[in-house]
Amino acid sequence: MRKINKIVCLAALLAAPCWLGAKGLTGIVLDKTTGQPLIGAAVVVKGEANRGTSTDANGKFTLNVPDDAAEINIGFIGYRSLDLKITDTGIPLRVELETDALGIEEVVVTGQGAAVQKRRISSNVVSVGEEQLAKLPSGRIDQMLQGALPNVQINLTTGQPGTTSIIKSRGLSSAFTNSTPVIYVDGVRVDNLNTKATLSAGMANGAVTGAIGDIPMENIEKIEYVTGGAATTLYGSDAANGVIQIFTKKGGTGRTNVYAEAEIGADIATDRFYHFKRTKDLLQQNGLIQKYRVGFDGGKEEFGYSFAASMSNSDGTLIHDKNRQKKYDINAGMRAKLGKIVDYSSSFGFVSQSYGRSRNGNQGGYTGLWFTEGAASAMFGYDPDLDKLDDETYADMKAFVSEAEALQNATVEVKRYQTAHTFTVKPLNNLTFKGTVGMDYRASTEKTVTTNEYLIHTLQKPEGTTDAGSISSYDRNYFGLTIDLNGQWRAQAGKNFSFITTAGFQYFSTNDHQIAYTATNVRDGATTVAGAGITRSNEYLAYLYNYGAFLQENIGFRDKLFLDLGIRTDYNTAFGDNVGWQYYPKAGLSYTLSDEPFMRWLSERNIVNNLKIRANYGIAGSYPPPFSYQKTIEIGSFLGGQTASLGNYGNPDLGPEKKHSYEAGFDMSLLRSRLTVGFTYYYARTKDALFKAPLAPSTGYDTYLANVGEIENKGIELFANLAIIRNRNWNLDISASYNTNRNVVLSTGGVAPFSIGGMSERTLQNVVEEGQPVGFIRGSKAVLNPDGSLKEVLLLQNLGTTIPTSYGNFALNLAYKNLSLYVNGNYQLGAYVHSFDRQFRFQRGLKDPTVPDKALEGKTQSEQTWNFSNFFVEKSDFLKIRTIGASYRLKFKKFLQYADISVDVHNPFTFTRCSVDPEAVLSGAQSQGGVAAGGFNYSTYSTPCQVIGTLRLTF
Amino acid sequence: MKKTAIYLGTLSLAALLGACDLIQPKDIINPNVDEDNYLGSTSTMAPWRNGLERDFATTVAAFVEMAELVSDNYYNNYTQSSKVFDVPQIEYHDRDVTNLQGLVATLRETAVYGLDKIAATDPATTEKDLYSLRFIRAYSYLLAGEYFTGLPIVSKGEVKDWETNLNQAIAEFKALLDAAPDDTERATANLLIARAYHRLGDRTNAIAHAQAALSASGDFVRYVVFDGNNGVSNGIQGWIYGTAFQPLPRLDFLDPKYFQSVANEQRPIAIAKAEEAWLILAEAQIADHDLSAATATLKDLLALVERRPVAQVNDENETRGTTVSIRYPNRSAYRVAASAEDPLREGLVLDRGKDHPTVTVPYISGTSVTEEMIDAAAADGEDALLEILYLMRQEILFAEGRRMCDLGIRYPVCFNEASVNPTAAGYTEAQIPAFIPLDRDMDHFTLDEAAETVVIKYNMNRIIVDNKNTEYVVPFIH
Repeated sequence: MRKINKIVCLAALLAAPCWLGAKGLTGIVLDKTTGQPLIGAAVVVKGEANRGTSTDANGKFTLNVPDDAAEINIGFIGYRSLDLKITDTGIPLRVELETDALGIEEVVVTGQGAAVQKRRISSNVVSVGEEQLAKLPSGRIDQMLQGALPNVQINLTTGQPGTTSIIKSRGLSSAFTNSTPVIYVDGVRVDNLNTKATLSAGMANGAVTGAIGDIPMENIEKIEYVTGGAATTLYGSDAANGVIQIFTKKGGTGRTNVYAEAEIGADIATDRFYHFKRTKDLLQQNGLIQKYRVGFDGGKEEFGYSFAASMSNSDGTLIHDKNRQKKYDINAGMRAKLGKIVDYSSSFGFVSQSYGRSRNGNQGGYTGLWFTEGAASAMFGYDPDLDKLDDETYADMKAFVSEAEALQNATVEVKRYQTAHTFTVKPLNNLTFKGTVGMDYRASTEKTVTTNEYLIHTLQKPEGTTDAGSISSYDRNYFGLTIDLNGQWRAQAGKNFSFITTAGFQYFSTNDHQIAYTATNVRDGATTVAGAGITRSNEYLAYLYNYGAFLQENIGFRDKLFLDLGIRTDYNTAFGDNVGWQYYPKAGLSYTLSDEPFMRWLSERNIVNNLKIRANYGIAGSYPPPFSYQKTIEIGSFLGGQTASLGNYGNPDLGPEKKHSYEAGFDMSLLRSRLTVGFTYYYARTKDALFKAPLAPSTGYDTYLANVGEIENKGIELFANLAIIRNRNWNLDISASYNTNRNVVLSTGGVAPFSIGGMSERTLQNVVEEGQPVGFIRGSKAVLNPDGSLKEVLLLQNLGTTIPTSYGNFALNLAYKNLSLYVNGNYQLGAYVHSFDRQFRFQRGLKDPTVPDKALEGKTQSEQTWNFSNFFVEKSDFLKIRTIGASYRLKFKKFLQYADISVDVHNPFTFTRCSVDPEAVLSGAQSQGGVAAGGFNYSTYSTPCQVIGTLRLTF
Repeated sequence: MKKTAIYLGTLSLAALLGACDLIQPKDIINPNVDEDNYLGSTSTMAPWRNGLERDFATTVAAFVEMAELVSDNYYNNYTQSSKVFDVPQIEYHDRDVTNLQGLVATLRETAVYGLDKIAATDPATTEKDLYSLRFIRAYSYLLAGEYFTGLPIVSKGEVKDWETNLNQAIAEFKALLDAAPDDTERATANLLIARAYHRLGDRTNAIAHAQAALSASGDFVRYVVFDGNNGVSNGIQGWIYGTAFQPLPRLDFLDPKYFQSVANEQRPIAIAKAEEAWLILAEAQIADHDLSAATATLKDLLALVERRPVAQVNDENETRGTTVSIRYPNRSAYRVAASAEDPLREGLVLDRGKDHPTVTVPYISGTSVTEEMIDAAAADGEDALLEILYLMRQEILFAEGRRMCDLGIRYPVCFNEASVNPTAAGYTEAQIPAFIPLDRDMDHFTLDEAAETVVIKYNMNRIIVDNKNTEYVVPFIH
């Protein structure tokens, strides 16, 4: 416990009218280095986390304190918190907070059951605060976090709105379950579907809609991320891939602050990765972006409120505004004190989003990029070498493409409602009970209307066809309910030992209901199935309940050595009949070495300011999909009668796959805390890995789901931040992370190698095979003699892994007074990507410089195409600048507090030797919630560059 | 007061426990039908049989799609469906091989399940139901015996060679003969037995059952049917009615055998028809050196083919002449030679495209062979007549997945089976006779736009005849 006499020097007193008395304490909180007021710093009565306030736009606060209160605590993300004794000086406090480069005093929740200081925990919890979030793109949560989480790799796999991404850290720990972390908003688990759904509206082979793109984005105060493993043991069978937790604002800073914001900008189409100069001209445009945001917040210690709303529109970069997107996002949060020991907080979020889609990927028939970059224009009677077409032919092609794009009609609409309610009861100073209940309801509708006119135009139906139109619609309703109860007891035993005992119960349920309704024999003009000649429907329902309880003991010795022990047990209704309650233990050690006397000489000389070492072991799980364990009979319809046939093979022993994770590392700050370094070595072994394993075909079944595999991931995570300049006017800091991963399937449990993505054996697939990385690219390999002639063709070869061997982020922040400049980006090394578009061009007879003519042995490229797949696999190393931005704050004295003006450019630069966008790989998951290995670039639009200017006025 | 507190406490606890009930997993019931529920319900056989018949249709379609690519009949000009069966390159790890083997086993296991479990529990099971299940089980052995080097005849069982599978098919079809519900079914069962005997080279039995088939019905056609309204599709229809699969130019006049004249239409596929009985008889007669009888048989066959209907099909989007990877003839002016040694023939290519939107195609049977050609071939001798016979087999059975078998090509046992079934060891390589040209040469031709001629690289019918003494082709002779 820090003593006030140690920090009193930081709390310089101002000569101003005093007034701490019985009821009020006023003050201002500043950054010690820059002298800038800290907005939103928490000021709470020590020991009463719920009795507090936060600083206003000028860094000022007023707090009513009870008569018996002895100390207050002042904290802010990224700064060392301070404890101050309350003395009746009668003057406002001036508190200067020192940056906490390691953040070890910061209180985190995710993965801990209840609030715990970072210094006590043995795993790494990454926090992203409001200030940092403001510099990130605000369109969708995965894009926002792309450059913000140092150990996580987030790739937006297509530029079309609302589509799935690939999020992974520490490689792929499953060959069945998608690597997207579980996502919580204010303690409530939300829909994190990041793959195609089981049913679809005909878009399943192209860019598919996930649920990540419409997670509420307004009013976010803080985001925490923990990596799957020991850090997520308390989530049991649910979080082998880690947890992202979003906290929304529940109150403002004293007086009511009102803000209004307008963004205007452009989505800029790029031809960076197009083979043909004309592709962009044929398919893309620059689109206008508009976003308007209003909000207010305020409150005092007894009550706080916060409201934010935005609406946005973007035309998108596809011609005829085929990617137009509209979004409305509202969030309101509040907190209130309901008596002496009970606090209540809540948040409500609502998102309405709609956008259009253009055909892409492997959707067949006609898709714009396949037609152009994939040289399928040959199928429509054109010379596929677009750039060589004469003007007249090109004009004809342009008209054809324009009409083909214009005639497409695919839309997605989403309405999402999310709410969380938390009661905190504190009967004793050292005993806190917290209960959270909340839900996430997401309703989406996708619709593809395929007109006869489109089919005729794209040569799929003859002239005069009037009955071949179709409408493919699909509704998905997701409802998730979370109930979380926990209690935390803090105790001190003498001077040396402290204990935090946390126990809790968690329940969640998910209900995923999908209905597809399609119509054929549709006349043009109809956009609902009502007028169709023939209608058909399909339904999918998957729901499960998960119960879990945990107990965690955090034992501290002299506030520097901590032992963290925990166990979680849970039961999930997706488990097979023979599988009961599951147990997930964890143990960790955290040691703040810099607090030891023998290290003091280093800290006194500002060589090593802080050093914490940590190590842990823990298990986290992933449950199987609901009902996969049951042997079913498949019911259908044929010629007007009901059909029954062999369905799911079933497996009564189906249980969760378990990730056994070991890690050790340190966090340290050096050189007056100007340099911070974090290092972690991790080793994770997924046991009982779920494999969708092939069965002997003679059984009459194809595959079955079983816990038969074993997967290993190991590597290091290194993060460093260097404050090069830090004074009252200037601030310059740079940060970077470097992560490595080695992924290998240790055992397939005796099952034959199997595909988890891609196409057929003779083209390219993501494959799971013993001794190889999960989802490596497998295809034919042509081996050439030195003279360029063909030596041999080897089938089913490993052509490269899709999992980078190293990756990371980097950022630079420069501030001069009120002007800020910032740059961030990320990179990857050691992975590979295959370009179907390149290979299709080769197939259609266009020369590829990598394949010598001699190697074709006199045969056509079309005949030899799939023997030469290795020539179309490229290293996907890249470095991408995600954001370059500048912001300036103008301060005003009356009415208007300040105006923030910023200009941001997102995705401006990519540095890669790859001929295709290494990120634009669609996610490629074969089933709902399935693992996505990526690695195939197939007629996919890249995420566009965005230039956005923002004006924000705060009143 | 104390009592009141106790009562209130008890009541509260009870209420709380009651609330727990709302979140207990009692209502977790699989929304799908599980095995126990199904077997415990009534009227289970009718849906089971209907489901099996649907699977039968889609299995036949899958075999047809793949076999047509493997043979010289069709070339895959597109990026979907198999990329290598045209070569033909067939490896035991190919997904298509796995799928086809799986389909055979699914038919068999579904039929077995129906006969063993469902028939035993559903008193409403009829003789027709049992006939259908047994017929399809028998057909699964026929598929195994005709298309594979060998396959297990029971789940996870020992791999048996193709002859054993054919004999199993014969035994099962024979057992059905007396139960056949009508003449078409009786003719079909007899023809399928004859087909199996033909492949086994058993001339006597093949003749007997071919004649029995024709006795039951002289013009029967047994189809499998699809249901476009329920998404049960004839898989090859989309490929051949579109531009993806292109026929060998001398077969152009037979394409598209499957087409759509109204939305959702899925054309049926013939699994047995009277023509094949004539073809078997004629081949047996040639093998017996009785060319005059064979000539007469083939002429009878021609008469039947001529009686078969044709359809006017809108095929204006067929882009034979304009695709870049391989240019195909699309005007009737083109003359086609079966090889450089063969004469150029007229009438094999139809006018297509926007200017000729409608084509006339035979959708049961068609042939370019005439009585004159038969007579001339007979005059030239056995081999010439045999070549005409195999040309007729190719044309009449076009797009029915049969040509691959006539070329002596067989799929291997797939990798997923072999990896857990040691008895598959000798069956994991495809049978592709040495005389089969590789590198897609069976589909090759030279097109001369100016001269409007097409010369096909290999006349596979002649190659079949040239290799009639090998174990792979012309079963009645080798």
